[in-house]
Parts: sequence; C-alpha cells; structure tokens
Amino acid sequence: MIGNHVLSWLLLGPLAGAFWMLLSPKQSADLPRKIASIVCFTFFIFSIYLSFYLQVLPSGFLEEKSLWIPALGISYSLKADIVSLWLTTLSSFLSFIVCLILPQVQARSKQTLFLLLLMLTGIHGVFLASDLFLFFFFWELVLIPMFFLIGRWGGSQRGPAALKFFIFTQAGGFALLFGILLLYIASPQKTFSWDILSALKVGDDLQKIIFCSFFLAFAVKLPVFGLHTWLPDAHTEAPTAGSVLLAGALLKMGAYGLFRFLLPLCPSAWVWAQPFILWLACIGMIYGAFAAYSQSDLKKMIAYSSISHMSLILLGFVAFNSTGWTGSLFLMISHGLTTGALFIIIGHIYSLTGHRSIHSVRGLAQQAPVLSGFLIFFSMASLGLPFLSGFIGEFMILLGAFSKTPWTMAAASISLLMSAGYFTQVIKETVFTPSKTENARKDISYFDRFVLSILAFFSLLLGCLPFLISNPLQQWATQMIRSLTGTV
Amino acid sequence: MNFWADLSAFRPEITLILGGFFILLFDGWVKQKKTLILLSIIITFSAQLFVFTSETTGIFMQGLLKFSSINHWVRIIVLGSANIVLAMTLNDSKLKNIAEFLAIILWLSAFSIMASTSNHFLPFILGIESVSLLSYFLTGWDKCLRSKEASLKYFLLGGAASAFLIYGISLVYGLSGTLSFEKLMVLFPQISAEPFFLIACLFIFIGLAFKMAAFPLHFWAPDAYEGAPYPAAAFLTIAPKIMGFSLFLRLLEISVVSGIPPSWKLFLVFISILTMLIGSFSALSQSNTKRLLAWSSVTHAGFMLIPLAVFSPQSDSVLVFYWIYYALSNLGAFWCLMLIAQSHNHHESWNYLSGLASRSPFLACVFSIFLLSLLGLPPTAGFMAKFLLLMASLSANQFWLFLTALIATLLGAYYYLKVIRWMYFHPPQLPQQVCMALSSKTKLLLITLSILIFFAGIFPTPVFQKILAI
Repeated sequence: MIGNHVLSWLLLGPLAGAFWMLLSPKQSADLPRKIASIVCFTFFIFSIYLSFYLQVLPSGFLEEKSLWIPALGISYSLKADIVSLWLTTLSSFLSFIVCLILPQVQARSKQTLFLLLLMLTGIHGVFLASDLFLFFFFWELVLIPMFFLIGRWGGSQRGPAALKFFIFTQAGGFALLFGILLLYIASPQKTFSWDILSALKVGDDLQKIIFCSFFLAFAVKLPVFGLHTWLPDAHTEAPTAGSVLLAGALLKMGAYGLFRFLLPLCPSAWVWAQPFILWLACIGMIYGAFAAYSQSDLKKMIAYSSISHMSLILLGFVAFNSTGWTGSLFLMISHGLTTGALFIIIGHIYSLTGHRSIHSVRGLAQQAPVLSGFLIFFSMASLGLPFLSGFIGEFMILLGAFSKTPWTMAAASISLLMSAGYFTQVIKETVFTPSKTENARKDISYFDRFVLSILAFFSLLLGCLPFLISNPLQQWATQMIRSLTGTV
Repeated sequence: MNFWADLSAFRPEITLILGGFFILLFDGWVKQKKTLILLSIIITFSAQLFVFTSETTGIFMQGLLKFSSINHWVRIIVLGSANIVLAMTLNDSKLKNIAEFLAIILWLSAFSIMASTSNHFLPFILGIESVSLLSYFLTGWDKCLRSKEASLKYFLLGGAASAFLIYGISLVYGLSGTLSFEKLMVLFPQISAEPFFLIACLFIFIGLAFKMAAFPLHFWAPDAYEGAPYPAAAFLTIAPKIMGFSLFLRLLEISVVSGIPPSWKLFLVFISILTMLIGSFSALSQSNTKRLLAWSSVTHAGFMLIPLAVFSPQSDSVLVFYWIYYALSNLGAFWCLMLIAQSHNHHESWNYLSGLASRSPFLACVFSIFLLSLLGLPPTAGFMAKFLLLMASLSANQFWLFLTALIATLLGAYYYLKVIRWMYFHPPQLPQQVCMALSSKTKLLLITLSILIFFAGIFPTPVFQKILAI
C-alpha cells in the first residue's frame, strides 16, 4: 500500500499542486483557491495517516534515500519519525486553514497561492530532511515565500518588516551553514548525511563552535530572547495568512532543529552550554510575558506571547527528560493551533472594527458575540486552561523542569501567571467593556465560524484526549533521551 | 605540429572573426536589423559547434598558445553569453549602426577566448589590448554625453592599466630573459626571491585587476556600464571579466610547481575581501538600478577571487561553475532591466520600477528570479555556486574570507531585495502608466534562461561531472 517514495510524495506533492494550480484555467476566479485548499487538505490527511501508520511500523521511522550530488557527498535523503510527521501534519493543516480564510483579493492572486504551497514544500522539507545540505536548502527556501507574503499583503510598514525578517533569518541561516560546513570538513567521509554525521565524534573545542552556530540559527528562528526583535515587527506587518504560518509553522522549525540536530552532535558542548540556555529560556519567558502585557496592539501582544511560549518550549528542552521533552513537543503543536486561531480572530476583529489596538476595540460582546466567544476560548487554550490543548504541554514542561532545576518553576509560573494576566486583560477590555458608540451587530460569517470551529475542535480534542499525540511523542522522547544519555 | 593543424584547433575563433567581416559586408545588401542579428546568432552557434568538436587540450603555435581544460569552458561560456547578448540586441530599439555592433561583439568574444589561451606574454598583451580596444568602442556606442564620458573614462583608465601591465611584463623579461610561461615556470624558484619580481607581479596584477573589475581598479565599472548600451554593458560584465580571471589563473599556475608563496595567498585574500566589501557597500546606496548591477558585478569579482585565493585542485571547477551561474543570472538581470528601461524612456531610477508587478507580472517575476539567483537563494544556481565557494574557502581554513563572503551576501540581500521591493511592494508612482507588452519570443528566451538557472541549482550533477571530467 505504501510505496518507497512516500516521503517524496509528502515533500514534493505540494509543489506539484502549486504547478497544477498555476496551470488552472483563468476563467473561474475561485478555482485556484479550491485547488490549493484541496492540495493542503490532502497532505494534511496524508500526514495523519502516515503518523498512525508509523506507530505500527517496527522501526518507528520512514526513510528514503537516493543520490543527488555525489561529487560533494550530498544525498537526497529523507527520514520521518513521529515528531516530523506531527509537524508536517500541523503545517499542512495550518496551510489548509490559511487557504480557507484568505481574503478575496489575495485568494484570486495565483502568485500568493503559489507562494503558500511553495512555503509548505519548504517547511515539509525542513521537517523531513535527513541530509544537512538538504535541510539547509529548505531552511533557506522558506524565506522567499514568507518575504513576499509579508511584503505584498502586509501593513503600512511591510517593506522594512519583510526585509528585517529576511535579513535576521538569513544571518541565522549563515550560522547554520558555518556549522554544517565545519562538520563536513571534520568528517572523514566528506558527507552531509545526517546518519553518518550524527555518529561522528568531534573534539571538544570544535563541538562548542558547532554547537554555537547551530544554536544561533535555531535561536533566531525560535526566537530566543535577544534575537527576537524581528518577530513582533514581522507579525504586526504580516497579513493574517502570514502571521498564522509564521507562528504556527516557521517558529516550529527552530524548535524542531533543537530537538533533532543539536544534541546528538555536541553532547559535551551541551553540558557546557546548558546553564546559559536555561537562563535564556527563563529570561525569554518572563520578558515575553511582561512585554505582551504592556502591548496595546493585539497582534504585537500575541507575538510577544509567542516569544514567551517558545521560551517555555526551550525550557522543556533544556530539562532534558522525557516529560519535559514530551511537554515541549506537545506545546509546539498546541501553540500552532491556538496562536494560529488567535491571529485569525484578530484579523476578523480588525476587519469588523477597523482597529487592532486594545484601547480602541470596545464592546465586542454586543457587536460580535460569536467572535468574542472564540476569542475567549482560544485565549483560555493559550493560557493553559485544563481540558484545552495548552494545559497539557505547559503542565508537562513544568513537571519536567521541576525535576531538573526546581527554581525554574518560579520563572515559568510567573510567565504563566502573566499570560493569564494579559489574556484576561484583553478579554476584559475588548469584549466586556461596553462601547461608547452604538454599533450595529455585525458578526463573522458562518464560513468563518466553521473554520474557527475546526481549530477549536482540535484544541479541545488535544486537551481532552492528549494521549493520542503525547503517547507516541513520549515514546520518542524516552527513546531519544536514552540513546543520548549513552553519549552525554 | 604544422601550421594548418594548429589553425584548425582555432576553428571557433576563426569562424567568429571571419563572421564579423561577413556581417559588415552583408550590411551593404541587407538593411533589415533582424536578419543581421539572426545571421550573427548563426555564426556564434556554428562557432559553438566547432568548440564541441575541436580538441580540448594541447599546445599550439610553437608554445604561444595552450589549451587547458578551463579554456574549453571559457569558450562555451563566452560564446553562450554572446548568443544571449545577440538575442538581447533584438529587443534594443535604440541601438544604432547595428552591423558594426554585432561585428564587434563577435570579435570581442573571439579575442577574449583566444587571449585566455595564451601561454606567452606576447599573445597575452595582444589579447588584452584588443579586447580593451573593442570594449572602449562598445562603451561609447550611444552617442549621448553619458556614453561618451563613460567611454573616455574607461579608455584613460584602461590605458593606465595597460601601462602598468606592460611595465610589469618588461620587468619580468628583464629578470628572466623570457616571456614564455613554460620557461618562467622553470625559472620561477630563482627569480621569485628578487624584490623587483614582486613589483613586477604587483604591476601585472593591477593590469589584470582592471579587466576583472577587482580592487584596486574596480571604480570604472559603474560609470562604464552605466554609459554603455544594455547589451554591451551585459557583455562587458562577462567576457572581459572571464578572460581576466582565466588569465590570472594561468599566471598563478606558473608558480604552482614550486608552490604559491604564502604572502601571495594572503595578498589575494586581502584583495578578495576588499573587493567584496567595496562592491557591496557601494551597491547599498545606489539609486540607479544599472549602477547597482554594476557594483554587484564588482562584488561578484570579489567572490570569484575566492577560489584563486585558496587555490586548491578544485578551484578550476568551482570557478567554472560560478562563471556559468554568473553569466546566466547577470545577463538575465541586464536583459530585464533593458526591457524595463526602454519602456520608460531609458531611465533606471527606482520610480520606474515601482509597481512593475502589477503592470508586467511576467517581467517582474523573471527579474526577481535573476536577482534572487544573484543573491544566492535556493533553488537557483546562485545558491549552489555560492555554497561551493564558501565550502572551498572554509576547507582551506580561510575563515575571514568565509565571513566576508557571508557579510557581502547579507548586504546583497539588502540591495537585491530593494529592487524586488520596488517592483512588488510599492504601488505604481508614475502619473501615466506604461503597459509593457513583450513579444512571445522574448518571453520564451527569458523563461529558458530562468529554467537553466533552476536546473543548474537543483541538478548541478551533470554540470559538475562535466567540469570534474575536464
């Protein structure tokens, strides 16, 4: 049933879909969007299917390998385990949602849809690549569509914001390139294949350099405190579609890189850098939360809350035990869903009221009760209310971090407390403060309600039945940590 | 080897030179521009065919000229670029004296591939001088003030550079008593210690730096390219530059047997770093797109110096791949810019680019592809070429070279993306909007160029294997 090229299908399918969409006839204006949605939805289902198929597979991963540029030791090799497949599921799901919610103007432009599908290809490539050159190739490829999405459809300062995003991540990418090339030069076989390089024993000093360069690249993308300044700008200026994918899929690339590539390479450098990263995570959590609390622009607030949440993921990663890791991976998926939904909601708020500032949007409960309901729901999911998706991940991270370094609990608790603070503040100001002027009731359309309900359904599903995802993830984390502690 | 056998090895060059005369002759009978251009394209194509059938290595003309593996590629790349440039002239409505222009393009390509085979300082000087002479003509082709000024500047600086070159060569002759590269290779260990020899090398380098548009003789490039008509400017960024680099490579090979002195390597690293930085910092502040592309070509000269500075056995192939990529992307970018400038009364400032994406989506799209390739993003050829360069520099432990190349690329992100930002992110600014209709032939050619760029970026293996096999 499943062929040998199943991962290539997953990787190149969206690209093929993009060309299909380009060649679709011009007469019907809505056809390109339909095709793009069908493509994304197909690969969403396909990823889910693969991730369940994986669990019955004895080896626990899917693999594909063929020659690409043998003269340089570069191979086209893909490898998918449960983490890669859940992340491809998340990104194709979010792309599907984005296709649905694209405004009319953007959805009619084939270029925009092409860029979306190209970005999906790039993201899938990052999550599936098992050759460092291939990984870097897709890592850089993702920049182009995002640059155009922000710059083409964004707010008034879109040009500089797009450029800032590009240059920051490009600089991070160069750090990655440096690390990859150092590894290549250090390897006796002169190869970029991850299977060989991950088994390589590198000297301590070189390990530190490689560790720093990899970490820098992932830290820019994550983003870690200090390298985060591009994110609020990019989010504020990006169109809703761009924000959803940026928060939902692009930030996860950095976290994925940490889990997948950083540790096996540099076990001894890890011990050396751990305290430092722990501090970065704690500062990032608290800083992000406080910064989010003081924002008046809703989009900026969510951007800073993303920084806070991504630092929480970093904390779970640093805890280096299976509970913490499972929590981080779980939070990655949950954060993608809830933050994506929050950006969509803010987009709706903006188009209904014409404002995005927390002080200008008033009386949403009267004006748009359904939208307010969704806003409350996803705020709760994001701040970690039990039975919603955010809770499980945050709780597991706290548990994991506590068993390692109890004092980080304090920092994490402050940040979670603050997140409750800023979300309730938003709800209080925008939803329940009555408006001074009488606004006609104007809610979102039934279609938009349906889209948000899908997101809400998955958030609820993950909150109530977390084991669907967390069990295989925990298995993966335990196995990974066991194999790493052999080396650490 | 007898004379006729030697001559047959130069079938491509002879075809081009005779073809140039033929075009001039034909001009009297045919007044149609299109026919002349098609004829010259046929000539370059047949020269290209001769390239594939003639020998790839060997020594000719009693040791004056030598074919090594890299010359084969120089021929292919220069003739290919000549083809593209000739196709470009089809679109250039402003160009006068078309027959002479075409003949000069043919001769320029013939001389530059001929010169790059020189194995003796005599053909070396002759080749460089004839290429320079033709370049001055091309620069001053439009009879406007800007073009004349550019040509004069180019000519005066070129004269000074040639003086340096010839003085350096005469010093070498005084020290060694020979002009032959083969003999110099033997004598190298004895003369390399002489202080005068270092001065001679420095002078020769300065003369060549002029052709390569590398520091310290890079500053003519923006002025000359700005004044030259578009096809000429595009060709001047390729042919003389590639000739300069291949000649430089040949000169470096003289010292290879006894090992390149470490101080030379350091010097080249220094020059490469300065060229990259000067090129990219100057490009940052340009408001004229043609000048921006000119400065970017200076930056690329700095990039091309990297394989020479690290000088490893792989340098040849890295350099050749970079040339292929550079020729494709740069010609494409100049072509697009020409099409844009033509429909705007020959202005290249930012305003004329603004909102291009809505006026001519096709042109904006291909221009972006060429620019992204010049920048070096996947999946274009630029990514692969820059990756090879960076790998070569880090493998040779040249960390500073590596770092500078990265910085130059980041700066490149700023100025190349600036052009894209004007095309895509800015609303149209001009009062009367020009709608650009391109002929389907032009579209087809531009699409072919971009497909080649993607192909070299995604499947470089066929090209690599050919390069490694030489």
